[in-house]
Amino acid sequence: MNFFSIPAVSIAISIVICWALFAILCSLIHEAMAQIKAERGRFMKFYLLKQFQDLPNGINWGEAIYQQGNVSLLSRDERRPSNDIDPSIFAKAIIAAVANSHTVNARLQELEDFVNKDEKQTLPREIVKKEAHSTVLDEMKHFKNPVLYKFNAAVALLLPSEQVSMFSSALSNAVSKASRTNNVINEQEVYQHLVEHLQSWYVELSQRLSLWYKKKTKARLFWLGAILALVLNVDSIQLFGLFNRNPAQRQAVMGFYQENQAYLEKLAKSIDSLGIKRDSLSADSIGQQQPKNISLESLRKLAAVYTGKLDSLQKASDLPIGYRYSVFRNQLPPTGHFKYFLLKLIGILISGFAACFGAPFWFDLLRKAYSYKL
Amino acid sequence: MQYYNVHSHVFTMKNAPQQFLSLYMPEVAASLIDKLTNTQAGAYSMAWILSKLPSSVARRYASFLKIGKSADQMSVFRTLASQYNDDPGFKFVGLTMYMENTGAMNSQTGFEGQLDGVLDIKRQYPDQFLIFMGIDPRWKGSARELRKTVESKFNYRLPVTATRSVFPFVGLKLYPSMGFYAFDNRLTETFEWAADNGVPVLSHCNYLGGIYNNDKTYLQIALNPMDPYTGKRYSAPKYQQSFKLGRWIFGTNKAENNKLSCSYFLEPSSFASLANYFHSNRQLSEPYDHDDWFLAYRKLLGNIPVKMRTPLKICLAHYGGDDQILMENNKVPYKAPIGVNPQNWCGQIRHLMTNYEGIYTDISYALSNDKIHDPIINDLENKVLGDRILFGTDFFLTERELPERKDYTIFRNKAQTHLMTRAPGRTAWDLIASVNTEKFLQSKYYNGNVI
Repeated sequence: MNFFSIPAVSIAISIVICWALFAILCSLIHEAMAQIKAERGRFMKFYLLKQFQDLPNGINWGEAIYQQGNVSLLSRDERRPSNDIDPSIFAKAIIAAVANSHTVNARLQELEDFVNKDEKQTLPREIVKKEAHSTVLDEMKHFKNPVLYKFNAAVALLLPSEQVSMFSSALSNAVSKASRTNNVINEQEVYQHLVEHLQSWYVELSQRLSLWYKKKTKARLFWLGAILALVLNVDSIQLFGLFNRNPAQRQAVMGFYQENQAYLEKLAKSIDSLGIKRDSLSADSIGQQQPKNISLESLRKLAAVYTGKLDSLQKASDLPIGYRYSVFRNQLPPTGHFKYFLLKLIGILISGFAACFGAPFWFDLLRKAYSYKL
Repeated sequence: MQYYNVHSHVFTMKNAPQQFLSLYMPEVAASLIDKLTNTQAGAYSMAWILSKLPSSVARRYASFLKIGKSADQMSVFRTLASQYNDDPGFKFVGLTMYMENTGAMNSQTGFEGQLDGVLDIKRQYPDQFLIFMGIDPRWKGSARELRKTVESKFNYRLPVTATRSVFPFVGLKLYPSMGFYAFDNRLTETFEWAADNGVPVLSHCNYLGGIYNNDKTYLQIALNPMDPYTGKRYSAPKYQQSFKLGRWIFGTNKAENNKLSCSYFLEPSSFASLANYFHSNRQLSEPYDHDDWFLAYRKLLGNIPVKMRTPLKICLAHYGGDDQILMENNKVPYKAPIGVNPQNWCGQIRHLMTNYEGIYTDISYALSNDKIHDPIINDLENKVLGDRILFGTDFFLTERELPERKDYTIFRNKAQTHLMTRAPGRTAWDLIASVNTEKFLQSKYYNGNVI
């Protein structure tokens, strides 16, 4: 007995094929929107600005990172920030942003001026203060490298904040790991360890960002799917009823899938992998080849070929999908309006859910189903 | 001659409160415009839609938004400087503003971030760009901390090249409508320091124009503080409670009431006690710690005769606003302003200028209304007022009215043709954009050249 000749199985498979095809369409549209809005870069920038908002010191280190030449040069337009910031570029940019900050330099200069003030100009009550400040300055002067010296000064002179504690722990960590010769610390190693520490923090953050972005994408795909389902009448309940009544339509859909299986799976995979690689930012792929950016133009070409295929399926199966079948165009049934709208709503929401799972999920399910032998 | 624009802004929306646009329009519209203009495609669409609208107001708003949404302050400064390419030596005063307590959320960069941004400009254009530091009594925890911070930042030597460093700041900027009076107790120490060092102060002073505090609860408390110079509570201001159906429908009723109430903070008369203190009897009445050199210095100053002391230079910007200038010159009918003093604001500023030698004004923003040009030139001929009227444009806020180049050239061309009767050999332009402004800017930190 053929597994696919069982009506319930073939109905389910046909529905899943429709969902998979619909999910590809939604993902294509979503990807195009994400590209137009430079969504990933903006998403990353938004969270970096949030994480680096240093309220006690009245400065946003995230903004300062984006003003650093090696980061700002990654993007041609400020409104299209790059999401491909290499971890090492990020780490060096933040060290430079903190060390070169005028806020830090002004405080450091004030301290140096106070400590170096002429003895005669020093008031009696300032003597103790001067000694204490002198000790602080001497400690800072352990570093001969100007960047490390100023970074250390920032940690010591800025007001305590989450960001300053992070810089402080990164520096302490780097100092503890660096080797010493005759009690003199190897500053090159300190800098290297500092970069590594900040790099690993950034990698962790980007992994979290990937998860947050995927969550956001899922929610968006649901809403996008629901709206498209409403406009194009991708009503899962109606499709179920149709496949239940018409074996020919089931066969047409399943035939289309079998005929185009390789193309569809490749397309779904490529859209998804594009998402995954780009969502995971550059930090996930250290040492890997950077994802190739798919331009809006190539997306448009992909979409054109894909919609052509869908048209051919539409002709072969005569499914009631498309704007001309939508609730906006169709006449309402003479009675039972409430039931009609309720079922329509549920059908549309189911299609929305199907879209948010993504096409690879459904194709994986189909592959498993087709590999099953009774 | 060296010419100056004493009033310009280079801040971007990143330096402004995150809900900045909601101060001027219904929140829904502000949020929509903000989101749209944050993306390249959205910004292009917005600019395209505005450019297709028949009104030139829309086109000017598009230009304003374009500048405000620039990548950084450097880009805004370059846009400003490019408008003056007929005089490459023109100097610009860039006014920074502390906008972290306006009831419209804090800024994206933070105030120190804004200062860092202008210092980057100063490093690249040390002689062309002069910075006024925005101060607000709420910035630091105490009056002393505020003064020490200001002093430390002014004394910072900004490295420009390996062989040159300059003082980064040359003046102080106040924006009282964000929720404080100029006579605020926490500002006194800083003003004492400013007066002692000749550092000029520029305060926003435009009737019902500009940024305001959008926090009703805060305003109800802040409107009636103690005036340390008179020793009395400033009790006359009342929170404005008006209701208009149209505004209520668009959700702007509360914002409008807050804006009207913030007018009290800016009212020129509220500067009188401060001006009086700094120009007549600046004696140290409080006991001082002999180890505190600053207080000792003040005590010493107290012993110097009034005439030998430098008065605090305060510029009440905008001359009250173009409508107030026209009202004062009987070009439009009189309408009593909201405030403690029923006199129009331009008249109030003239009164203060007549009584106190340290009071200045500038014609920024008002300048875009060409009807005020003649009255201004007449005032420049006035012996009492004429040496203390300064030229400024209020770039880029004035883009909503007129493009900067047009704004500046129309007035300059007119002022250049007016030969001064009371200063032979000089034009009105020389006086307002050079002589007066340079006098105002002179201090320990700027002597006509960047030090």
